[in-house]
Amino acid sequence: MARIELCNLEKSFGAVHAVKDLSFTIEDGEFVVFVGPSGCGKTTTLRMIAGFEDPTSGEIRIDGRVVNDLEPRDRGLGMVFQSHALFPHKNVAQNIEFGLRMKNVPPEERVKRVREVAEMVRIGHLLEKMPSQCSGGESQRVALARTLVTNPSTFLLDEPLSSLDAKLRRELRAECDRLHQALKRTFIYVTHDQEEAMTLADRIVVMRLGEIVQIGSPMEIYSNPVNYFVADFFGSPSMNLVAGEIVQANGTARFRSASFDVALPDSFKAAKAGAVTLGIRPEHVGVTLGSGGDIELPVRLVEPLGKDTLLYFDAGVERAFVAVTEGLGMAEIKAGERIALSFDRRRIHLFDGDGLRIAGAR
Amino acid sequence: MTVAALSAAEAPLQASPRAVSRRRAVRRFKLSLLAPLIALFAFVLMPVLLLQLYFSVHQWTVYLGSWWDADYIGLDLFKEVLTDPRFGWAVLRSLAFATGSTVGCFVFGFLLAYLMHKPFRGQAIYYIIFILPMLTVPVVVAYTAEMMLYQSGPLNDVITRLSGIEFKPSWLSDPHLALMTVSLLEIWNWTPFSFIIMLAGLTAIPKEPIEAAEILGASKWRIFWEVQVPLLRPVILLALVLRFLEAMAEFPKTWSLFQGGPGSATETLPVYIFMTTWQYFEISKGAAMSYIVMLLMIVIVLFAIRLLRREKRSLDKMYEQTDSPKVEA
Repeated sequence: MARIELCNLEKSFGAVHAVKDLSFTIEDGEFVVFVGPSGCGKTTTLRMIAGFEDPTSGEIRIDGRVVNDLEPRDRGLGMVFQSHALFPHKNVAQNIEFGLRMKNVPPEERVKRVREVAEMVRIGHLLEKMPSQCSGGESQRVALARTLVTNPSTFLLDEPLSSLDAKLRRELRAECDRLHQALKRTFIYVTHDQEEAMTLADRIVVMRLGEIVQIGSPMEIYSNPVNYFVADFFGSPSMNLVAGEIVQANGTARFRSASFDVALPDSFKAAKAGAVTLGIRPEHVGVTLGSGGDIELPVRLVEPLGKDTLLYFDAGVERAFVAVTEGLGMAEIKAGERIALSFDRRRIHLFDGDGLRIAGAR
Repeated sequence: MTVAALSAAEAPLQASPRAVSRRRAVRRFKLSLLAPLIALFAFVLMPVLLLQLYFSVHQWTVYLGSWWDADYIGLDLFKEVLTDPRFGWAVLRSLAFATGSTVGCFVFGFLLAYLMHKPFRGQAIYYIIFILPMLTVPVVVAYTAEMMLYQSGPLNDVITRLSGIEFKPSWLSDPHLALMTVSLLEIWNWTPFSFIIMLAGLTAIPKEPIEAAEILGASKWRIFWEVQVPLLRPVILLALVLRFLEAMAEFPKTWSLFQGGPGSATETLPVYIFMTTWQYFEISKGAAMSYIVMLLMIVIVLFAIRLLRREKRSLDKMYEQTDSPKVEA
């Protein structure tokens, strides 16, 4: 059981300021995912919690106790690495047993515990194999087991799934989730994959350039991104973001871009005129055959995915304007056709020149 | 064309014209790379080896007239060398010297490498200092040592003053110490070599398994024995083998300090062969000895190569997974 507090944490590597004044508390038993593009400081933060990097300044507390000067092995944490980091010269059982041996657990007890955790992550049949004989997914399960067996208060996972293929990733993601439910331990998970963050996290910490951009539940992050960056980062296909301007006329605000013009909901009535970016998620754009709707755009590409069909429209810029329709009803639409689109008004986001969200819609 | 290439890739036995020409080109390229080496072997090494073989089965020396008129004596000299107790002692001395100095170089080299493998301020200066002995000419090492090691010389003097105990071993004239003296000089001279190899090995170990061990509760000592040393095995073997082979051939220091003496205390293989050939002018016997030593070294080298191959294979296998994770079907 562990509550981890990060207080004004800073880390510089020479001239590179990797983590800037980071303060944040991870509650006991919480599943927190640090997410952001590469170089955003998420892994550095995790490595500082683990004890592999010393913070340049600031404090790390585990259950109220400052651990800055503790060695990694004295922090009671467990870590799973992106590269699995198995000991290549030891077989699977010896790999899993390693942590117990270091803690001088008697041999009979070790055998029992190794067996238990191996069953828990379903690798009981691999115990005699060498890591080189295991597949990527199996290796990561072994790495999980090796961490599990020492019964750490907190699991640190550094992009544990990024070296696996998509199907395995989903499978092991579910495994992580299951382990978290079963163990009720604190999990700190680092990834650059927004989908992993959305599916696993109790709370997501979005980082960029060494700073926290937004903290919130997956739903909060998805529906109320604080800025352009978060809006763009989460969601697949990503949010439609169209540059344009707010025009005030006759007491109503309108958004005008190179390719379309749309009335904004009343909540933006007071918005200042000027350059903005309009954001709306593809699933909040309605497609109507025939006339009507808010705007009309020519189709660039149709992608029937089976369950859904993605429609890519030409909005006069390189980035296509995307709409999702259910089923294959729209799959027959030809490129070049002009189609009417309607916006779910409550879901329109506006971002100002600095990329910050303009309060309003709701 | 693509179809031909594809089918060739699938069934290399039914070679397509393109595959054949490709294979020829590869062979030509390989040959052109090897050509200088083959030329060196054919025109320099081979004649020398053949000449030496000729001498080893003919009785000839410099004052015995033309070498091409020498009498054929078959394997007599080989028999003579192999039954020569002095040669036997020389082999043992060389093995003892090589083993001792190899272990010494390795222990100190590994120790220094371990202290140096993580970056710290001023590392480059230490690096240069640790490398310096290797850059010193062996003869200079020997003469410098001679100046420092005589019985009332600076080394004994300093140790006596520091410890307060009379310390007066005669490094240079005691037959029981002489071989050890050369071994110590060899260790001083060539520790940098082991240091460089071990440093390269240590820095090449991926850091994740070490960090994993660290967070699983292993002390530095256990990480060293349980993670670093096993992963370094091929490198350790390489460092030992190369150093051993070099030490077997050590001549300049031994010769300039001792010329095989005191008595025959430092008469190692190279020294004995040199004396036989150029002091006793038994050129044919020297040639026979060289051949025997060459065969001995070939056996050692083949054994070493086998060990190295095995280690390399096991290492490759270890990293197959950790470096590029396979994708499950």
